[in-house]
Amino acid sequence: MKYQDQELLDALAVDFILGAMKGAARKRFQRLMMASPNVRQTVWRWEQHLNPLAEGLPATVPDKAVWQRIQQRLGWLAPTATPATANSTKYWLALATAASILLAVVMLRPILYTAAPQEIAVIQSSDAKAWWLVSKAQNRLHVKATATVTDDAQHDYELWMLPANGQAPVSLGLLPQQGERLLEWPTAADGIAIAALAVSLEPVGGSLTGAPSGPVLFTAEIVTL
Amino acid sequence: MEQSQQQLLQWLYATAQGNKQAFEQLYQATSGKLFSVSLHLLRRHDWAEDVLQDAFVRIWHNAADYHAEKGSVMSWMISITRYRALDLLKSRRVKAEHLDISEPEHDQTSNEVQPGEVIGLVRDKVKLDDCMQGLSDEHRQSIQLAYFNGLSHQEITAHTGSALGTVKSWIRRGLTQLKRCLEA
Repeated sequence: MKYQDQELLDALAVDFILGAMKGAARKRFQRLMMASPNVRQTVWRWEQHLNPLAEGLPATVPDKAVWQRIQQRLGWLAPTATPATANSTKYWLALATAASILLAVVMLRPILYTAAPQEIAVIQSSDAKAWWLVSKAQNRLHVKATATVTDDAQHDYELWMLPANGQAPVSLGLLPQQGERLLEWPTAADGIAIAALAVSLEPVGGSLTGAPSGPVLFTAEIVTL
Repeated sequence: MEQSQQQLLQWLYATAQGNKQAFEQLYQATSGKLFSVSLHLLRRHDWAEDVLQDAFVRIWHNAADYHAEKGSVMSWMISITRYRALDLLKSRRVKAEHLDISEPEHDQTSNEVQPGEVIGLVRDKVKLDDCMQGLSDEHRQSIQLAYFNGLSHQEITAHTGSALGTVKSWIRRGLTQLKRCLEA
């Protein structure tokens, strides 16, 4: 392909910017941008032409938590030092311990708790180190990564619900590698009795097949409090 | 509006030197627009937030790589956000049929509009608007669907009911015409 043809280059730059250029062609073009000043200048010129389109969009103020999480990602804030969860490490550690104890006293539950049930799970490795703490309230899952989670920029950890009736696992979303995240409980998983949760290692962005495609690293049971 | 670009540039220079306060000011001034860009492409709040986070982490680390040839500061930041969103869009395989493209222009998000003129793209925007107006409706709509919603040519055919070849040539010819107008 002749990249010195400016008209062709314009067309390629636009495809790149709009996202119409995909896969291997996109990677090749990125390499070309690094190698050729003319190619990258063409892309920059088209970015300047097109990006003012975004000026027409009304601004949408993001949640305050986004700024907190950016600071966490940059290491300016301890992962647990967000105002809302100041004591959350201790809280969660206590909860994780309590969860195992509570298993033993679960028979007392009807007497002790009549309020709305809360379901929690501790996803832990075989050496009993907690990686994630999962709690479900209504139709939301609150997931929190502990410091044990191994950062893996090449992969995502995907959380699955394993139905008790033996049906195929239902994806619950991607687990954070740091900090915490809210996941919507999928409607596909509504009303299905849960046997366990599982975590698989997937390509960035999650499994493309709708089923776990990488190794299953963890399984965990849900405890109802 | 030149001053706004100057202001963003000052914050970005300071950011490049590790000034956290300047970075926060940059975030406060631009995150609303960038979040809209991300939301339009992804249509999911949680994904759009992830992209916004990634974009700002990248902006912090790459602030020193910015230079004027890459366009205005805002244009540079929009590109960072868009490319991250396109990556995510691809990896999560969001399909156009699940999306409501026909979102009214003045939905509830319009209530959250910030003083938008901070952005410093306004002068370019006026020219672009003029040039976009010069395009035929099909050309303009195809470009907008591709730019704002990240729709592939194939997805645009589903939206407009036109053949793939037609959509491709609309975008190509529309952009050629746009370039002539913008660079005139």
